[in-house]
Amino acid sequence: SAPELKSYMDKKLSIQLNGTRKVTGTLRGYDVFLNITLVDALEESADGEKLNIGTVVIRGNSIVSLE
Amino acid sequence: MTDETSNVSAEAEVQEQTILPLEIIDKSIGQYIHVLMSGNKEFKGKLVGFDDFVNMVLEDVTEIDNDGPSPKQIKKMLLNGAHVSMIIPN
Repeated sequence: SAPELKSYMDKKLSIQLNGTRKVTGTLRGYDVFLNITLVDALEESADGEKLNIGTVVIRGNSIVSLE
Repeated sequence: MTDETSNVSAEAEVQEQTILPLEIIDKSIGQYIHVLMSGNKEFKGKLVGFDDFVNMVLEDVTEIDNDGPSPKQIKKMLLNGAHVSMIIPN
């Protein structure tokens, strides 16, 4: 069954990935495995640097949290 | 009865507005992509194809190890999808 992310659609989210990665972006899609599509994504590295990466796919497996 | 059908069409409508992640990967076939792994590795290469597990066949690949050693060039490879963390189309 699909994750209950309808209420997060088109919202700006902060995704915590495994390890130290943090990505922020607008949620544009998801599937049953919690893989997500983010647009206008920014990757924030450990030293605070923000890198614009546009449209990305994040594997559900590696998602620790969404806020 | 009418309640059931309106529920189904509402759900279908939301799903249609969703950009499926696997669609994005499918659209990138033939293009260069950047794959981040769960460890400190990155792979930049041309996506030849992928499967249900997001295992990927890549060509003209640069393997980047972020903990030091210089990048490696790989002509063609099968990347195990198990540790893929993020996929960035160019």
